[in-house]
Amino acid sequence: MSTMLKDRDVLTGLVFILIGGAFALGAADYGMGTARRMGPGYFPVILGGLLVLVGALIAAKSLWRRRYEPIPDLYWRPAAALALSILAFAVLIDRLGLIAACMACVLVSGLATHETRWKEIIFIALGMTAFSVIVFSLLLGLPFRLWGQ
Amino acid sequence: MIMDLLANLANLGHGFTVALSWNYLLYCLAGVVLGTFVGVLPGLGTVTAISMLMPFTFGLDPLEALIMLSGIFYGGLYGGSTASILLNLPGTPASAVVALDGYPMAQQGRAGVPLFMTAVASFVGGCTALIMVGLAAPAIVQIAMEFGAAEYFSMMLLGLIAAAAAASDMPLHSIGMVIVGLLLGMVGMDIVSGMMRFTFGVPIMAEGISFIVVAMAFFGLAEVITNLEPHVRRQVVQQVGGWRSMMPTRDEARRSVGAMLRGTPLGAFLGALPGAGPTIASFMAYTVEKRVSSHPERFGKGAIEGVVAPESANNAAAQTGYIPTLTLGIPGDAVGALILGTLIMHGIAPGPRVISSHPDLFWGLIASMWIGNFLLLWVNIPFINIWIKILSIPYRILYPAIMIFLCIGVYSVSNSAFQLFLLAGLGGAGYLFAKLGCPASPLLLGLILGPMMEENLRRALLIGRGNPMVFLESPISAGILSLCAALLILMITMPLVRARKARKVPGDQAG
Repeated sequence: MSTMLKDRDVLTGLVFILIGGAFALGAADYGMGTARRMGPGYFPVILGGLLVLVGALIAAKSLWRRRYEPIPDLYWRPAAALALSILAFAVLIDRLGLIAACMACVLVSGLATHETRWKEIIFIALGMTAFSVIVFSLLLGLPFRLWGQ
Repeated sequence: MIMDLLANLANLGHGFTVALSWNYLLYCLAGVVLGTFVGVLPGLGTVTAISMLMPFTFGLDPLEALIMLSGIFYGGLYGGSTASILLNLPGTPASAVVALDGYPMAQQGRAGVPLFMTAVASFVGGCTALIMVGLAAPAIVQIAMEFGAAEYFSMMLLGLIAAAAAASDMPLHSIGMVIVGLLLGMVGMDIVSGMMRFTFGVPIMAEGISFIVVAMAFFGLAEVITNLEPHVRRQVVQQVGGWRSMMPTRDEARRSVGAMLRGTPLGAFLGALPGAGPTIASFMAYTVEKRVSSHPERFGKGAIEGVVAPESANNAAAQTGYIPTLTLGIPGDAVGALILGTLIMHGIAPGPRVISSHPDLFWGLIASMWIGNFLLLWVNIPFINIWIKILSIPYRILYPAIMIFLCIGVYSVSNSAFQLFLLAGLGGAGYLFAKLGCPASPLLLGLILGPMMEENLRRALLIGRGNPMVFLESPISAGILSLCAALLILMITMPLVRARKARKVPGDQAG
């Protein structure tokens, strides 16, 4: 049972069925209309249904053959650290401005790998912040507040 | 016929006068240098680079933006082969094949020769293919002018199926990803009824999910996460000597000419087909070269044909890949999708009218790509050792910089932090999909084509009074749909046939 659930194709199938099902159910409320005058739900319902079908086929094929191939390891450390660094940027950019957001983004991203050298990452953070201020804000004129709200 | 030819030549001449003005030259140079830079860096693909830099081109005029983004694309192909040859680590998938024979040559201490020859082969392939684009595109436009909603819908379907077929050897996975992309394309305000679909009450979602955010999540963030997995290792590289060490032997030069003559048309043909991009072209060219060679045993050990043919093919394919994007508005691969997205962002409706209503844009772009291919020779060969130095920048320094580009780029899409949350979420999804063996480029294609497909489906069925036969009554549409069916059958049955063959003849290596 557990090998079956860790199987790459069974998981893919489940993911597709979930996505397709969610879209199809959500779209059903939007009004189907007729083929001649399609409502906003028509195309998404068809697509969602198709995706459920594709997902079911993928999973069924794998279950039928009983040759399970486990999904490769997911590495949470880089995924979580990078997500966090984006969130740090997102939270700070509107509150404290570009400089704080860039510094935080780079420093937090350093958590992603054990290869990080912290002295080095401070220099990268300073360098990238200066680069962003000069290139994006001054040269390209993107509307960032550098510091403060 | 001859008159058409002359008219096209005149147009191309006009294109050169446009492309040679200093601002376009500058963006062309910036594009090819940036492209070579990211192509050389392992773990940073051209699609990633284009999507990362796209937000910063919003302020440019459309031609400047297209010229620069295209420069990044074909420049990336040049640079990608450098990483392939020196590290056996392809910078881009399209240059993976070049490693087969280029890397052994580098190991023999002759890295200069394949590096030089890839630059020459890319130049020949790219420039020849551009002439074909200039000749073929206006002809295809004349056919496409007759297209109605049914034909467009069928054509888009073909493009999506072909992209799915090309993206991976697991057809159901790719088809699933196309559909996920189409569904993501449904998010936002429905243009006909004005109803909000799947927006969860977030006002900014009314505009839909930006393809830039999706591209950066799937090709940027997910890639960076994968590259940071602890088991990924990188090696050190040798330097290359002067001009003399780059010269091929006379015999190699002779064999290269034939290889270029075969690789270029093959690549140009494959590139123009929807779905088959530079990657497939380079693999096919390698296979063909091995077949026609009188010494196939030399391949894999440093045969120059194995470097030259795929390299000319992938650059030819890169250029002819613009044909479906610019004439029909139907991109053949992820890069085409991004180029199409750029057109739309700049308010240019894609389709057969692009060439006639924006002649400066089309012919200027073609001419600039010619110029860009020429510039690349001078960007690459004399400065090869600088590119090699860049190749050895450790990833731990590179990735924080990529993160900054991703964050600032995504934020600038609509100056809203919401897009960044979307980036983080979609990036996680992209990482998971990569682990599941689901390719990302069909999703991107689906996302861009989704709204157009729905619009054309609605229009076609309205004209056909709700009868789906409308798709079969037009001979063009019926023809395209039967192609779709054939392709689908081929996709599903090929793996089965291959599996049966493998079971019947265990240990057979003839295939």
